[in-house]
Amino acid sequence: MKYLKTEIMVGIFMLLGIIAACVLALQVAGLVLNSKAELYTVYAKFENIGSLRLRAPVRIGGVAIGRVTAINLDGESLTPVVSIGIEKKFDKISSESKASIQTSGIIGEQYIAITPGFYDEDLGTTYLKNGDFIADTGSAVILEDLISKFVFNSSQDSSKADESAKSSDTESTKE
Amino acid sequence: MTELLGVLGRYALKKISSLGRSTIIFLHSIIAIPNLKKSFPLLVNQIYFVGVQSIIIILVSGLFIGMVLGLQGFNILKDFMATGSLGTLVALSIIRELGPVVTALLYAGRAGSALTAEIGQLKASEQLSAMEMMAVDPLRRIIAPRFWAGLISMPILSLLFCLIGIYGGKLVGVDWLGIDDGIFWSGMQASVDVMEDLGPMVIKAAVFGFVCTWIALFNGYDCRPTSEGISRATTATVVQSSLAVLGLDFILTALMF
Amino acid sequence: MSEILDEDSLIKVNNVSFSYASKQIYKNLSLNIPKGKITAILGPSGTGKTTILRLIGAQLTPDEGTIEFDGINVHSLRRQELYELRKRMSMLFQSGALFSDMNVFDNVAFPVREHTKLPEELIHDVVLMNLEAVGMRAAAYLYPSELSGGMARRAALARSIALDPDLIMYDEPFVGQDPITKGVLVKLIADINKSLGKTSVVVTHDVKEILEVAHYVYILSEGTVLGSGTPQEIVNSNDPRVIQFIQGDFDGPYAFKLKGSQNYIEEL
Repeated sequence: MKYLKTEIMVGIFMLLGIIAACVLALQVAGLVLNSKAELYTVYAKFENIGSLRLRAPVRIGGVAIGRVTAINLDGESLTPVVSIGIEKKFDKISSESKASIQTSGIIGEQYIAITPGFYDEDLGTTYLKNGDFIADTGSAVILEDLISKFVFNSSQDSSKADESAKSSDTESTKE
Repeated sequence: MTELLGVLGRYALKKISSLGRSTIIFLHSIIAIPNLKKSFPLLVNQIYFVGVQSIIIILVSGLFIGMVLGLQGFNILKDFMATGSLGTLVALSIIRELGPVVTALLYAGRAGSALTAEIGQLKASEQLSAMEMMAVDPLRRIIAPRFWAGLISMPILSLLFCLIGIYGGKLVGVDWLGIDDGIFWSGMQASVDVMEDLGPMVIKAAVFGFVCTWIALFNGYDCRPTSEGISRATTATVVQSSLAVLGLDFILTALMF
Repeated sequence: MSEILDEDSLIKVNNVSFSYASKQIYKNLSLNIPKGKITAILGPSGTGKTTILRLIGAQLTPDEGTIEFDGINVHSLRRQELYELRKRMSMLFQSGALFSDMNVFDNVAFPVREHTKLPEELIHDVVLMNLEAVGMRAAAYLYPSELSGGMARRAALARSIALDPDLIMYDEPFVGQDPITKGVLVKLIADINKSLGKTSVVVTHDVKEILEVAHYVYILSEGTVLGSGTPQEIVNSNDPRVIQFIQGDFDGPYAFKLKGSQNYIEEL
């Protein structure tokens, strides 16, 4: 029984290590093993998703209601399709709602903000359900585009378009 | 000129031979079929000395480093209206860099120096020789359990450091400076990945544990068995471990992130 | 002088040369340690008497020459074989070298626990028997830091005999001990040799004590054997260097002053 105290302390030490690993994985890295909140998935097509990442939050009025569960590219239209997982308890979201990619702060994380639309059965709107597409979407605001819009006026914009066309030409000649 | 070359050559030879000696010692202590019944209590004992007794210093340092990161990060991010990214900033800087590196530096100072001094003392008081003459290999009886204990303890200490550091950042950012709790965590969760961030962190910590423990044990085993020799070896342990950790950190970061 | 026959000797040291860095310790040293006897190796301080024990234990390797233990060249063995062989020898270090993190009981039990699979009750009895043999049973649960130098050496002696080795090497057992402790140690060395029939090698410069019990004596100086024989022969030797060493005269063939390269007057 000489090692008893040591053994207990070492046991606690190892246990702490395992707990720390679990908490880091679940709380910090947001690993969801078996999420309690069940999600239903809706899809939204964006022109540009900016730097939206997997598991980015989905919010209505700033309140998180779900996560981005997948980001794919539609093979035909070549537009990004974002799968949005929304908790089942938020089932009264109109199909006319708008999904837009927004940024918290200037250089913060990007998230999807859903702006609820009107709901009127007579006009044929429904609630979003699993598998639906959100038609009304707003793409990510790309900071660089914003700056270039701000710096160049519209005439320069057209010359810039020319330039980009030229540069693509030169690129193709290189190949 | 030739004299300078001679000095350089001798120095290089000395270093190379000590590297060779340390490798031989390392191999002898590791390539041994452990007798589980006898080795396990030794290992537990050493994890206690190396790991458990380092917990306090790790936790306190981790908490304060996390709090400082929270405070500094908040002040910088405030100017960009991006305080929502504080969680990401704190978590990524701690998990990717500060956690394993600071833990390893503290480990080298706390446990590494103690290991060197202990082994040096055993050598100076002829206990290692006595053990050898009793046909018990000190490499297996003394060195090996300490080595494994270090290798096991470092990742755990590092995990604890990261956890308490992130909660320290949360304490400052959320509880004192008023960042929204949800934003703090969700930003973090969106950017920290188990395989891309936590995994490499544990690998880094294990590599640092390996290197620091090896350096500490070799310096102790190879020291001159006098008071002066032991104190020199202890200093060498801390200096070499720190340099090795910082250098390796760069290499590992370049490889894994 | 009487010579030891080859077949009687447990250890044969053949023409061994050894040097530490630049300092030559032994030059063509040859000696035989007879089986079942107490052999004393005497010599002035700094002649590397301890080194010979470390060479026999293969902790050091000679530059030239061989050392045979029971017909086996100890330096030709592989690591594994060497550790097997070392179970047959034991060494009592100058400081005792007890493990400071264990009490006396566990120290003595250490080699038994490491090398045998005896049940704990049996180990308990073996340890207490060994401790009783050196008169240290009462101190079984003290830690080495609580022991006096003499007690530490006796405890270490109990540890050395715990595995029932063929050879016991004593490294300066009398250094820094009071006369009573010296007497106790001398008696213990004699008892262990007599009752257990162990070959004993005692390295020392305490001439008076060891001549009482030794069967054979070697006097080393400047890397070679200066004289050897039974205590009687040594005492009656007419080699002036042996006489000086035995009697402890400060003047004689060995100069009190170290030989310097420069003349004293000149250096001043």
